[in-house]
Amino acid sequence: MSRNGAPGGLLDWLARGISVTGLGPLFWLPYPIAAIITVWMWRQSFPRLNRGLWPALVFPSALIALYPALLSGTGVWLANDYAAAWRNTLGLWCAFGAWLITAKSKPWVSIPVTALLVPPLGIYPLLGAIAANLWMFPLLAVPWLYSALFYYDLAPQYAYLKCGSILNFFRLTPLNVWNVLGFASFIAAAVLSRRLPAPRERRMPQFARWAALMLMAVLTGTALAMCIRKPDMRSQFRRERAIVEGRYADALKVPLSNGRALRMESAYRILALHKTGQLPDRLFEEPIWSTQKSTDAEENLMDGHELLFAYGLLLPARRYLYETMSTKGWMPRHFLILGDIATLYGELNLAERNYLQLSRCPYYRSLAKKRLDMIHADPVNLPDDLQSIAKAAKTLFTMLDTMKNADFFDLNQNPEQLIYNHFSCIKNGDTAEAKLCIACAMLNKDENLLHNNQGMLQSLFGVKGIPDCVYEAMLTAPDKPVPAMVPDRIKKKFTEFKNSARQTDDNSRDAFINRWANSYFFYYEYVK
Amino acid sequence: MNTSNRISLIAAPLLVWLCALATPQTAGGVTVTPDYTGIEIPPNIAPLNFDITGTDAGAKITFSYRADNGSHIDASGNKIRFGERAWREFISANAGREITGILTVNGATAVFTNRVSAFAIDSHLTYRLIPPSYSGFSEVGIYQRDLTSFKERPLYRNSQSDRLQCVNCHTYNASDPKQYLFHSRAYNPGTIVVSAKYGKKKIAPQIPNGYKGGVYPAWHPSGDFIAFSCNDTSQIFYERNPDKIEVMDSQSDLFLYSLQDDKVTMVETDPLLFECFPTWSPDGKFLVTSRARSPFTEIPADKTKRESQMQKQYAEIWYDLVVRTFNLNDRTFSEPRILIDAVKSKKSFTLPRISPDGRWLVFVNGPYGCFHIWHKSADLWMLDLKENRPRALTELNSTDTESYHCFSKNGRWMVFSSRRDDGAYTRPYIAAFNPETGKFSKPFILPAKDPAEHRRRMLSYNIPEFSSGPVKESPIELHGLTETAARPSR
Repeated sequence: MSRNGAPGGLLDWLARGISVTGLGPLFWLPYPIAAIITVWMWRQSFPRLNRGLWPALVFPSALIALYPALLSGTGVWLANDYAAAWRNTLGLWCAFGAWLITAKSKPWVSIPVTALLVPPLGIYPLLGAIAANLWMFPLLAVPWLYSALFYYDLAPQYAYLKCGSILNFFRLTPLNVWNVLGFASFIAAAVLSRRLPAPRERRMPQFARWAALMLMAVLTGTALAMCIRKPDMRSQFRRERAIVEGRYADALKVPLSNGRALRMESAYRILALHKTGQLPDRLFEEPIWSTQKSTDAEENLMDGHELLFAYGLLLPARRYLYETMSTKGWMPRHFLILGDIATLYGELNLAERNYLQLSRCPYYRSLAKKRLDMIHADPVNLPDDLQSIAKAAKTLFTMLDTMKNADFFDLNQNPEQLIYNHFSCIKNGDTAEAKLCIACAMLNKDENLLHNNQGMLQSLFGVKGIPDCVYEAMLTAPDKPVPAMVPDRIKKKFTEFKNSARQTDDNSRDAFINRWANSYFFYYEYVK
Repeated sequence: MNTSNRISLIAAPLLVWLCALATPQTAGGVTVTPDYTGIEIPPNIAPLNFDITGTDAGAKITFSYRADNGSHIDASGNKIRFGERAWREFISANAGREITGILTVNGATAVFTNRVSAFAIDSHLTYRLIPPSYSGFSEVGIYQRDLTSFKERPLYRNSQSDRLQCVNCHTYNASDPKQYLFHSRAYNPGTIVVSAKYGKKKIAPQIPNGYKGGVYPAWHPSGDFIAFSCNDTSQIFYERNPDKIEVMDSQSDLFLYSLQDDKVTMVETDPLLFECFPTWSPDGKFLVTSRARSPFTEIPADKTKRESQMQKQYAEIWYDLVVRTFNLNDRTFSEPRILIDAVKSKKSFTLPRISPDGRWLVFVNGPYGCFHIWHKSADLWMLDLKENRPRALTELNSTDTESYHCFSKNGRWMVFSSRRDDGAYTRPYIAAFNPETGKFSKPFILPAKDPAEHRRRMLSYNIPEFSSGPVKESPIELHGLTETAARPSR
């Protein structure tokens, strides 16, 4: 059984935030909450059942409407996917809220409220509304038919519909068509039975109850059997449970599947390495992950892009994201991360494509606009071959300010440190990333990093290929000796700059700017 | 990491940035998007709608295409859209002539010239739409686009199936919509073959050495045979390289499948030779393939060891272009002759396709390996088979990947896939071809009713293949074929 997708929007953010930012010890909490809601709704249906045949239909419709949520909850419990567990529990709360609103208010209130809740919260409010009022059931046809008709070209703003669990449950496949027809026949039979004499009315609620229970039992049993039969999931479960419970050293002891790292195994190993302080030493010793095909076990645990992105492993994060989007559908956050990764790599056209998609998602427009404004901004005034990379770096810093308040992941709040960390372990030979680090350092006016890594600069650019602006940046350090590698002409230029700056007055200001605006000295001294 | 990789790593972000700056400027800093300037247009293609960007919201914009016979077609606003009927009448009336585009933005005018070709393009284009993923998938479909309009219809969508099917490698016999094939892979595997001569069937060639079926196909022009390479394919992923991924064959052979009697004839089984991408000459007398000579002395029988060995030296796997003569009577092939030696040039040459007149062979030139769609440095090249002289198709290539390509039936057009727009999503580009000179015109992207659709559609166009008409089979019928049991070969 594959895990049902997230409902999208705020619930997704909340669930991931809760599960990733340190509430691991509370991993058991979603289940009693979900159980309480389910029992409460069960109890609520009893008085209605006692009032006659027609209200009795509330009972099976409630359970069946919520069944996708419950089933995915069962699945994620088996798969130890804590983010999804939280997501489904929060979703059930939303369903519960929609249930109350629909039950306690007029349709002209409840229908628009439900319609407003669905974009940010996903399919769950609709499920709750249906559970409270059977007449809302046809509304389910709207996202369902929409996705059936436009499954391939579903606009990103409706992505939450595509990955909402109900659509996975009711995808337009022959099997599901039969399921739906069967359900419709069941309702039709019940409606027709209203015309039958009273004794039948009393039997019908019992029949409805038992039919729904049987249906749930069969489907849950199938789900359980499918999960348990996956032997390759067991080590994944062990590793993930160890990580969620904070036993990182134990997580590292779990053997790799088939002696090589699957994608999620690598992601969790990286997290465990970080938590045990071994990441800098062992990151590049980690086995390369090589898969011929993704397994169900991996697909069940496919939020790895968040981990990888948080650790600054941008290309693997991007690859995971593409896989996730391909198999689980799109979510606004996917576009955000893809856009950010593309920006960091200077792939501005690709970044623009993703931010444009993000701008079409409700509630993300202003964020997308900020990102688009960033990548359309003029490049930093650095006169060398690092121009495009410097632009990406500048965008990064602007991006940080936005992300600090918008993201749940603590590591994301300090990616410049991550980049520097990469620089310190640049032994993997990634010259593009090293250049990005240099650009970051220069924009940050962090000349120490250049001073301390002169050997690295020479290996990157060659002895004669180091750009002038890098030499200039090395000279700006006030309390460091002048490195021997800096050419005399640069030293002379620096002396000239200092003299000019000292002699400049209001009359010669424009001439001074024209003369020196393209130098790093000028940037360092005057550009904030 | 070798020097060229280092250079590409440094250069990649810069090149992407430069590419972004290279969009055409026309009037007052405004841009025509997509770039439909200075191109050659088929006389039967759908309207080349475009957007004007870089203007103020309230800018007054008018556009007009004018021909020297006095005919013209006009549009206004920052979204230049032409009526389909008016467009068809205009370009068909101007076939073989130049047309002048006159763009006026707030009184400033810019002019560009396009040429309407006298030669029609094949009416349909078939492609697979896939997300840019690597191993996982959920939605895959083969679609056919009517190039004379904006209509696109699915031939097969895997959401038709309860179990997600994977379909790939759709191929026509010389653009004939009555002769085509595609593979279905995920379950109940086989190759769906639709043939005017031999009917519709699902085949499963039985091949020695543990192969799971044919992979890269090529129809013999007679329609009686299909040459397949059989490839044991695996993937490795880069952690740092912007090329993202390598798809490699740890073993691959070549065989001929006869549709007459469902018989398999092995053509090449040497484990030290890796064959792929067969293509026939238009007269069916020659078979050209890409073929790598193994740098190893032996190939391990164990698949994991084989893949591991290949991974370590994959940057030294270079594919030659080789040709064999084919004897139709006894279905035999000559010994292969090298057309272009890859080892000498330390480059890899793949995806050979020969023009319908038999003179020009277009191929992809990449740094190494066989799956160049993931190599940003991959470019299209062409070999003049008459003069035996290769050249880079600089008029078509960009700073990003150029890969799969296909000639139209009349040999006057070529479609090819390119990632020039953003480096991630493949789009089909079309260019006119002059078989006398061997030159291509400037390429242009597949026309769309709303050009922004190309940026909105988060799917890649995979394997663009021309066909001279629509496929008659419905998606339901093709789905039925994928569900049937495959006919084993003899």
